[in-house]
Amino acid sequence: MTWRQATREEIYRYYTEEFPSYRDELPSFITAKGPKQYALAFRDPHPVRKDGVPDKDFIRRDTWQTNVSGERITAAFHDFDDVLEFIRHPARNDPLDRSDFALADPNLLDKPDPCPDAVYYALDHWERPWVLLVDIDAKTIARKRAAQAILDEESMGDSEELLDTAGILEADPAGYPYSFEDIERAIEYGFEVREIFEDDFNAEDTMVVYSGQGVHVYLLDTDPAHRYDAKSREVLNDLLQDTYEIPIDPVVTADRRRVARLPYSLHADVCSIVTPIESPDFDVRSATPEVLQS
Amino acid sequence: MTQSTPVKDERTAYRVAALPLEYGTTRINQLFTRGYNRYIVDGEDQPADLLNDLERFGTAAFKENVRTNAAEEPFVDEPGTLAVLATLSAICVKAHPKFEHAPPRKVQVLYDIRELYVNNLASLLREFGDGSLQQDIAEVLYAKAPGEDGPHPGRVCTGVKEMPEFGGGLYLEIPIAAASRNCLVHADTETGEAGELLTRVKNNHLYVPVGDFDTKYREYARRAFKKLLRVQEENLSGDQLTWLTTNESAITERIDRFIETGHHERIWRDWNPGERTIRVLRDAIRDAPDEVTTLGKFHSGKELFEAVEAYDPEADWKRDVCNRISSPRSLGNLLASQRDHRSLTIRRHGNTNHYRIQESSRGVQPLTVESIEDLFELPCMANMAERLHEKKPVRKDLYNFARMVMWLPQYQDSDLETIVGDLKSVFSRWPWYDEQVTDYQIRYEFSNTIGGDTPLPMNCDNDDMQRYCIGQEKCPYSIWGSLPFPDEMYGQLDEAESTGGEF
Repeated sequence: MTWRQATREEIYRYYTEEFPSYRDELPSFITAKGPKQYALAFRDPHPVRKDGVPDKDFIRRDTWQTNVSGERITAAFHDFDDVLEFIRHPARNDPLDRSDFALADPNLLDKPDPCPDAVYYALDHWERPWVLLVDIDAKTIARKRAAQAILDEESMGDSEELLDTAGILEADPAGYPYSFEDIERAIEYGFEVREIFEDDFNAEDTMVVYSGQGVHVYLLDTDPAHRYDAKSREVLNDLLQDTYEIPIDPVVTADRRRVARLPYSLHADVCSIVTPIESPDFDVRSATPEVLQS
Repeated sequence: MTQSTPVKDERTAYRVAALPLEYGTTRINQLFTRGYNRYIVDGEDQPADLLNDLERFGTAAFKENVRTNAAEEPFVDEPGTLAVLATLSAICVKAHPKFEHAPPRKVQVLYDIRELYVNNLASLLREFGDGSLQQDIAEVLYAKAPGEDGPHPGRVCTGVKEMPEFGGGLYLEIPIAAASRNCLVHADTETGEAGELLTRVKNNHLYVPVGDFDTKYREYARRAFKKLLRVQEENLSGDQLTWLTTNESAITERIDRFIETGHHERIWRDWNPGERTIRVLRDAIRDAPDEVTTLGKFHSGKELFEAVEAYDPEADWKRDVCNRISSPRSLGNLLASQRDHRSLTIRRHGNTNHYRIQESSRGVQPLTVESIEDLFELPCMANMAERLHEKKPVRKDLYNFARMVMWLPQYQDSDLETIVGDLKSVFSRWPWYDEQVTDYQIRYEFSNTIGGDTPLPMNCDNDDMQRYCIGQEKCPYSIWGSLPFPDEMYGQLDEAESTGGEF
């Protein structure tokens, strides 16, 4: 089994044909108006209307317009179909509409209907700003593994040479800076974190999401006892890394303003569906979209 | 915040005394009022009582054992009184002419007063309550700045609890939502890196060992006492200040005594770091087992470092100096920075430096006296011993000897028979020794108290000592400065104005 990048056409087909079938399975807090923003990443930069502004390969769009006091006035998306339209035809359905910073008119672009390489939503949620996400990346695990195998220390950073020497670049999925073994380990770590959340942090509402190159572990409880601000999240980072020895990405965990891959969106670099999972036995191959299998 | 005032409400008084940085000057002044009220009897001020108590507090603060004991058992039993006595004592210290131009952070005796205040307060807090005051303090010590959601809505510290599941001991319970990195406590390691995490996690709470509370409170108390002192200083009128400094004498005299006897480290904070380093090294070298290192000889950094490592001094400042020396290299660097010190010589030896530390040629060398024999390390006593081989003693020589011994700490609580026995065994080495005569003479001297007080030992200026003295400018020691006489001896010295004239 090898991995590859999805073509633009495949991405378009996925969001048109397959993604709508997962809509009912999206976590309940992901609605048209719930997150503060949706964001799209493109393979190539695209121009915006205003002259002199650099082309954009990543755009964030607010779900609500607000007044000066930060109160919500007008929703940018009325229902999830609007979000879906934005994903499929971002330039045509840009909520910035006629603003100078909207994506430039698709008719003027070489590639009309730029399709997103990745779709994100903001963890900084209108109704529940304390959504906690822990990111575990297979790349980190692979790097550590390579360093241990080669030098028993992390002196070489994430250089290609190190991964190459450890045979990680050759192992499936070939050419990626990790192997399937590392993804499987990331998934195991994800369920360990979920257990820690449940056992030591009294969490009831948790979710593990296969992200394509690792996992996202969510703590979604909404009671005040789980409203962890940035400082509490720093504590969590330290505990997870030092006490529980979980190789998390501490920057993502502490930063509530981050965007996370939207569940059931497509990770186009690896042709994988971002999938909420229930068991460490999850087979990553099952996350390949049907539209790509045919 | 409670509306009760510290004047009337004991709990509020404790809170203000412990957490003055959280309160304004009005509340702090009310705490002082509570303290001063104790010195009003039937509407009449009792200034003599106040003066007496503050002198007692101030002079006691200079004794390490009193400061330490106060952490277990309060020296003053009331928070208002404690605040008044500690701040007034500090004001008396600051008024000493020696400190006129000195920044308070340099004055060791102010640190001592603060330590007595903090230790005393800690034991009062323990006695006072059910841990709820500790919880209030923890609330302040562990609070984090309000985040994007505003301040944490609940209590930061939800309890002080015994946690057998963590191997026992008391822990502060802090909800994770209220926590910050401030709550993650690591064990100290020898390398100075963060050791094992001592904070534990359970039920969405952090459990911080109470030992960390004490450490953090000490840091807080530094700023807290400064504020109490400032408010007290602003509160006193010029007349009151004049009255205080005119009438107070015990604290001032004790500081004078430290100066006279060369105990600079007791009055100055970080007093001459180079001098401190060399003094500690001298002690460590003297203390080294099997005389591996010797004063006056060249040694490698490694040898000296081993002596420092093995040395376990009691005094805080000496421990601080030792702790700063973490390796032979750090010791080498430290000595290199003091290469101009008169007692230090550095010599290149192959690829490494060798260091020679000599006996002090100036100032006062402390002496460890484990047995009476050690007194002969004083050059004057050595001269006396030598002369006694040739001639019978004049009476004063024997009495001088006996009086020094009377004041040695190890004989303070001994029975007379032990002291007489030990002294006789020293005297028996001399050819004129007659057991009965010596026995009689020693017993006579011990019964010959002056107004019930033990007679003072001679000091270096005593005329009778002059026949043995090698010259004070040449001698590294002084009798009163070098021998480990207890503070009571100096206390008595304050009362007896004469310095050896009673002979």
